[in-house]
Amino acid sequence: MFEHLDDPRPFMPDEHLRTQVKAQGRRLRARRRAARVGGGSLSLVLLAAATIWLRVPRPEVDRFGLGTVVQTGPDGAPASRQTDPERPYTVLVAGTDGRPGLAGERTDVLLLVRVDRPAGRLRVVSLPRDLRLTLADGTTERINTAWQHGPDVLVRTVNQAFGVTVDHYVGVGFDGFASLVDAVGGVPLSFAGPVQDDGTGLRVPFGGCSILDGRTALALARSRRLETPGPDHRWTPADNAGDLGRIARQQVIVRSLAAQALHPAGGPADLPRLVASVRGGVILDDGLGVDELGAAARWAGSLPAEAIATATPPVQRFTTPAGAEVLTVDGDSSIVRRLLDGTDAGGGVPPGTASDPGAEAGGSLVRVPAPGEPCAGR
Amino acid sequence: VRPSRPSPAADASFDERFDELARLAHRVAFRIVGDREEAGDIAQEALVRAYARWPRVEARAGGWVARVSTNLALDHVRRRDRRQDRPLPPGDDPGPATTGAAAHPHSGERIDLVDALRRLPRRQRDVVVLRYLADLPEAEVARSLGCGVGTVKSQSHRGLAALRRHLGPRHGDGPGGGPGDDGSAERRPIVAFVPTSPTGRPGAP
Repeated sequence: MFEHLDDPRPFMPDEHLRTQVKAQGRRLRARRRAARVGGGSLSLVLLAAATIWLRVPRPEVDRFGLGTVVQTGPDGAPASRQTDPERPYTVLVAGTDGRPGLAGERTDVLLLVRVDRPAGRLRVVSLPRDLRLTLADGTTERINTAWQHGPDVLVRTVNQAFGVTVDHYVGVGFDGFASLVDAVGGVPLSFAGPVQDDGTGLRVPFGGCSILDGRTALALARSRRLETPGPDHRWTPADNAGDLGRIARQQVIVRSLAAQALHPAGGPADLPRLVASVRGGVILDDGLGVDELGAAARWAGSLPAEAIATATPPVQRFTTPAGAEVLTVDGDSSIVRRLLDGTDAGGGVPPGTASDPGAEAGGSLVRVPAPGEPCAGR
Repeated sequence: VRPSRPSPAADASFDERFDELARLAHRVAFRIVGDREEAGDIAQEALVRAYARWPRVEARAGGWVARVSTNLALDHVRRRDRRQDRPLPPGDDPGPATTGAAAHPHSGERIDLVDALRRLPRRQRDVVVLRYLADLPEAEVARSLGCGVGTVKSQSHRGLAALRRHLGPRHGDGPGGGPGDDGSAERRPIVAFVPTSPTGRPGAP
């Protein structure tokens, strides 16, 4: 049909091109492996936050009318959401750094979670926040700006871009994350020595075990360039691990935080404080009962590690004409749906393996304190 | 954890299909960007990505490469358009007349095609691209999209109908609005080469 648009001179691929392609392909493969580990464990932080929050009975929540958002199926026909908790459903989890409607607020973490109770499986696909695509309002932007226009735009963007029908929506504010940490009485972590990161405002002046407050825990979770005192008593980068080191530290935080949430410092008496601190930091859709979500969270908590799969779609970096470093889904964007359906295992990071590269890459600076290890309060 | 590099056998199978895939990628890109060098760069990038994940791509390599090449080409055109929309200091840029699609025959048609493709829903665009831009057979389109041949038929039917809707009324209105669109004399209405039947075979009208 479009033959008349063809190049009249035939294209002749040669040996030189093939050599170049393979060399670049090998480099790309190495970069992708590093990026893939990233998304999975960021999602763990958010999952932990949501799970902890869900342990609270009947909190008051803000509601979002997902039922009125028009979504389409992969075949282009209108799709209705699936609200039977006993059948597989998909939750869009948005971790945000503020409240919608305020200028400059973004979603830091976006997860699609397939809750498949009949099959006893949980699949988590995290969408990188720098993913650039056509938003539901027609603009081409980073996906983390969609939420600025409201959760409905975010849901429709995800639906249109990836062909995934969002059955439920859970929004968790990062303000909420910090207050969660505070509400459980802080998170105890053991440091090999003093650390700091000017970029995130992190300062831990002493080695050994410290109980970090919410703000400090968040600064640690976000730190990409952790510094320790060097031989000349100046702050020097702790490692060159960058994201890998950060991911390893996030996982340490989550493990300690999860343990803490099960046994808050003040005992069950602390629960009302927990509720008060996160109220307003969480938004649920109108079709999702808190009881249902709580039941799902307890169910998820009972799953063996191998029943939980985390994945990130393969991405490609590029620079926009305006100079922004962004990502696009590499290849077919339906990979997101296939990862969620479990029909494509590509890019999946099996639980437990994500921490391995980081353990040797700077994660050893921070660990979960041993039982009974004395901790300095902060 | 995925193996870090393809096995020697997989490597050999990439070598084997390299020429075919490179030509496919170049053809698709050229139909969109209309520039030999740019299409070459795009084809190379599509192949780099294919090689980086060859074990997963291999079984549906044709469709995969064609789609990546299309998306890169559309991105490329978008960037090019934006650059040309910006006022440039005098004498700084050779301008659209000597580079890009506008310098080539059928430039107006390319602009319309890009426009129309962008408006298609994702699924329909995928099908139309693979079926008519990459000239892949229905069965291969179905395989690389992971759907049935019936879906390919229905989606290409809808896709072509949508193409006609988007393109039809604009003709007679003048050029598609792209800067440097000076090719109206040689434009053929794009509706003319969109078959009216979903089973219509690709080919010149």
